[in-house]
Amino acid sequence: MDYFLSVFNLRFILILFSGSFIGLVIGALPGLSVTMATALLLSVTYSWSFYDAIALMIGVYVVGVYSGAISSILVNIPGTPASVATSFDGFPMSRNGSSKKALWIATVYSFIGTVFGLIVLSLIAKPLSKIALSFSPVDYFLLALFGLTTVGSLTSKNILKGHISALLGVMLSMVGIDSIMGVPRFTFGSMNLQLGIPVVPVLIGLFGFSEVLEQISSQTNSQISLFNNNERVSIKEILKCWRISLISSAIGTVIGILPGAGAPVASLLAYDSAKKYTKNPEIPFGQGAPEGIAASESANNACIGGALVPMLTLGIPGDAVTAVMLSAFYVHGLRPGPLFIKENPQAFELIVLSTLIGSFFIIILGFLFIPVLSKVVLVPKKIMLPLIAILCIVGAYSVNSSLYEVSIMAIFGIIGFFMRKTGFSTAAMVLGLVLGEMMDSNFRRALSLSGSVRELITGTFLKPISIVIIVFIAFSIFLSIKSKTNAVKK
Amino acid sequence: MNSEFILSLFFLIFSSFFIFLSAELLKYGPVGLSPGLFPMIVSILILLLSLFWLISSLQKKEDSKNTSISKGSWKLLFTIILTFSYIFLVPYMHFYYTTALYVFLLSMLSGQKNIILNLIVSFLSSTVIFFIFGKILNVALP
Repeated sequence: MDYFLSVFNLRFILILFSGSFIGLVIGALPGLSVTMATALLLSVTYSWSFYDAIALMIGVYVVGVYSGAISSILVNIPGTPASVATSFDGFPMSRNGSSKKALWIATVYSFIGTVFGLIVLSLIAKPLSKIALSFSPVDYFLLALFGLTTVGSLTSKNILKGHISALLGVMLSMVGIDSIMGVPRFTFGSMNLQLGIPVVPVLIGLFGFSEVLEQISSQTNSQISLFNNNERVSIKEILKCWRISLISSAIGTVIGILPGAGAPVASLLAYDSAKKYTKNPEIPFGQGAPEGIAASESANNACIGGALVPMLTLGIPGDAVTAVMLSAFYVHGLRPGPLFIKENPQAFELIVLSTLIGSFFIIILGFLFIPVLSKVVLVPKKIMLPLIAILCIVGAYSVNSSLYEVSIMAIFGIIGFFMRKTGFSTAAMVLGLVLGEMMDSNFRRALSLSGSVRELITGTFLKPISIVIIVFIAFSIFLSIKSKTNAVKK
Repeated sequence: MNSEFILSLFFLIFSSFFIFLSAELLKYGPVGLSPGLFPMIVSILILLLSLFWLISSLQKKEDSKNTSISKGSWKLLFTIILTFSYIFLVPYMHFYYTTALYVFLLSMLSGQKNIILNLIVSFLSSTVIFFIFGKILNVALP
């Protein structure tokens, strides 16, 4: 308890608040993702204590996912991919003169979604950790494989390209000295590559610098904000979507728990279910229905608590942001997994508490800064882009004080740009990169423990946990094929 | 020729190359623990997926919208050249001046026509980054 109190103090709350504020601005600016912000902050917080670093990132994560709704509602450009579904009804509502109401619905239901996800995290993380203790190497391999099948099919319009992206990430993770046999793999004689591909510069390149390249090469659109500060909004009007919000939060949390899927998928699924659930909406969906905003925002924020579950209990990230956060844990010498909560109870409590306080910051920051942010979303790209490019360079350099990392960042920025242009998924590649080493070492361990491939397969099919994960993998592949077939039919 | 076809062909060659490299690694250690085993499996999977992609691309017509990068591609090229020039020049020039110059040129490239405003933004941003990251946050700067 003393240790807990020594960490949890005013300084901690101030860092969390700073992170929340950064998240608010980054999330609201179209084109700047929460993943990019956390990747940049990962390099800045290298020398910080683990608790300070994680407080800053959680602040960015929680409030950044929410604030993507601001530009969705005011200028019809989703600030983050997670708020795409918010724009379906948010912008029409603004056009109807109810921008303030739309923003308050987004604020309140983002808060509810975050708290819902957090309750689920607190309830199931510890029991799941206990179950995970009986996981064998093959189960970890299968779990990572499940994450890749989900992310491959969900993050790219083309299933093949999604899976190729994930597998390329796995290949990248194998560059460097092999951790089991000590043999260099795919280093082509380079000393730098013997240490492996540095993850943080790759993340900054794929999410940050590629965004700069994309925005610079695209035509700049002039944006008009529809914010109306004089509008009156009643609390009763805002709170009437609570049922939809709870259902959507449940959907968001479950999607968050699935390794690989993330907030963009959760918000779209929740939006779709809200459409089916609401029989007679006062305003039709797509024309400014408050239920649409409530569903999307509850789900994408509930995803946060969900995504933290597999990251903390299994060491498998639930989405791209938790993949970056997982790197932060590694940097500070912590390895999330089945024993993490047992060995670091104070770290788990602080993560839960930071997320809870972060959810209150959604309300506070939303109330204080929405009028200001309605102007910030209009900052011209020609001023913003060079600054982001410099932040990417500084972020990559600070990892190891080396220009080699900056070159890696720039190269992966170019790769990320072409991946986006050709329909590949950068998020799938990052998950492959993060999960690859775990898949490789667990697969080989499982194989050497079994003795032969045949014994490995027969042994795997006799274990209930492995069978459950295999069923999940099969289901994920089936769903991706089905959705592809449906898309072709349409 | 379809651009999807060219890309899938590239991945076919790429994965074949890595199958070859992985096969070379198989000689280290027993098969189960060999460092070449898992990369071999992953490369074969990429090869198979690329093969499916190649076959499906043959049935498609050219989709110009999907792969068009012609618009603003010169801006892209200059941004890349500018960034690598920054990486090359920063050890010789001070971080502060290189950064200001980089921001100035990139702003011009992004469409900022007002040179005075551009100069103010460039030096101001370089100063802010230098002090916030270098002095307050103690982050190593190039």
